[in-house]
Amino acid sequence: METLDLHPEELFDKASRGLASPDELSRIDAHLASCATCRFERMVRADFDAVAGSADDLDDLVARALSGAQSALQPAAQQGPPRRRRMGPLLVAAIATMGFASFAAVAQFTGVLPRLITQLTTRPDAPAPQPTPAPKRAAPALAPAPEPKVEPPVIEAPVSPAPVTVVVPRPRVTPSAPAPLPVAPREVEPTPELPEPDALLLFSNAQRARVQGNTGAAIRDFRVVVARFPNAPEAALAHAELGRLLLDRGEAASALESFEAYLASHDQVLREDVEGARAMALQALGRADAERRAWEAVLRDYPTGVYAPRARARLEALAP
Amino acid sequence: MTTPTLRAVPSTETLVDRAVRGDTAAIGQLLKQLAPSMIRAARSLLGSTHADVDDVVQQSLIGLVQALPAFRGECSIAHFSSRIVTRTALAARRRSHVRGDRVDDAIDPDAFAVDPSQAEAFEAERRRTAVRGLLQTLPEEQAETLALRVVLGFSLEEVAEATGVPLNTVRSRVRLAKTALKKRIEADPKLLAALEVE
Repeated sequence: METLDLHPEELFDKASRGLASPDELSRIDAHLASCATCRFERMVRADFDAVAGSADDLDDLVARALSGAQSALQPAAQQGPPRRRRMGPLLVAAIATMGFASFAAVAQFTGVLPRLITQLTTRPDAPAPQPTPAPKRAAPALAPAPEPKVEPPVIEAPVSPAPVTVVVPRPRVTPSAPAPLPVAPREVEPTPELPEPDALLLFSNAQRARVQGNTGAAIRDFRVVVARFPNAPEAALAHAELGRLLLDRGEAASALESFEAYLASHDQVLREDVEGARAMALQALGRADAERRAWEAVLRDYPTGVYAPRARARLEALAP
Repeated sequence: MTTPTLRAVPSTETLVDRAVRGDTAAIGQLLKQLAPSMIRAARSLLGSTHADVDDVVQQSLIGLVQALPAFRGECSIAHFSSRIVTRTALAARRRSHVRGDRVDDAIDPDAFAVDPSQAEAFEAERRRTAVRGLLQTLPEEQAETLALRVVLGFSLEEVAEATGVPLNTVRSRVRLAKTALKKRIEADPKLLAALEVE
């Protein structure tokens, strides 16, 4: 018998949400008794549920996926002046929330890539490179992702506390791409021979500590970044992150110092956030006049930004 | 006085709003939130040991960022990302098929036969494999619909929202896909036997 039009899909949905009445459940049972396709579907849904929740190595997979996306940045980045082969502050900003590579992908497809490339390839004291045309923002909705050519990742992986497995990002593979470089997780034993951590590594460790809820370690490492590498691009972002952590801990005065150190830098990536956070720090300190000026600046610079409603509310509250 | 807490501020909606407007930090945070579910979806659709899982997830992350400007909030961002990973995974399977790659559609009975208690796991994998193979042969719209509904467990309404098509279109695609599924089952005596079809 052809069952083309007889599958009670709405009832299945209702039952899966626990909303089916006894009568409806009886109808479902009656249908299942006669429909092998729906019985199969029910079984296979459970089968897929079982495997979906069984990813013991999910953390590794997430890290690898985010890292792997980083390689998409490399070909575009090489279009800029190759004065500096390291991550710039915009890319480091991504680490603040997710880790390296995903941000490269983010940057490439949201129009920030030109800025990223500029920062990636230029020291603060170097002449500004020619701007790269921004990619068109209006991407075709939900088209399958583009397939950049395979490029070996060159950015070092973040290092975890010992012992640690450093997952080497996989090159992205396309049908037309050459064979990927052999990749495999490799065990790295921390030894005294490890190279001296650089700003990026320290920053990445600090972010990892922050994400893991180890605020003390994160604050310590961010402070190391700004103390040891005051001229590195990571330092500005470290000031911003440090300020946030300190503000969260109620150390508004120290947070304010950090925010102002960030705002004194040339970095623009977190400026909106930091301007808003600075105003909040001033609020916490009870410095009403300064807070008012700070919110006015937020509204002036980012009138439709995420802090704008708060700024208006505070300005209204602070009005004489 | 309550200390302001920056990190408590952004809800998912706020993150999405900021991400759509190109806020890099928000995009990063959003991707980090969505990556685990996208990985699970990719593994379900491809098979956990499929060689392209990493690539599909990476491409999907990129595709998500690319599509963010077009996101209008007509479905949840989780469903939006699920659709992207579904399309990417299905495309990857088709490419694998065209290339003649070995995909994980060939189940190794020996991997399960040693331990009788794994018989059910073997049958479950057989069923999953049957669905994955079917997805590879269906027209794209039907495959996407069936994947979202059966593999990822979307309701009809959720499929309609995620794919941006009318509910009746989804119903039609589900019916057609299930007709193909029925034929697939009937073509496999072992699947039929497991279902105790009279």
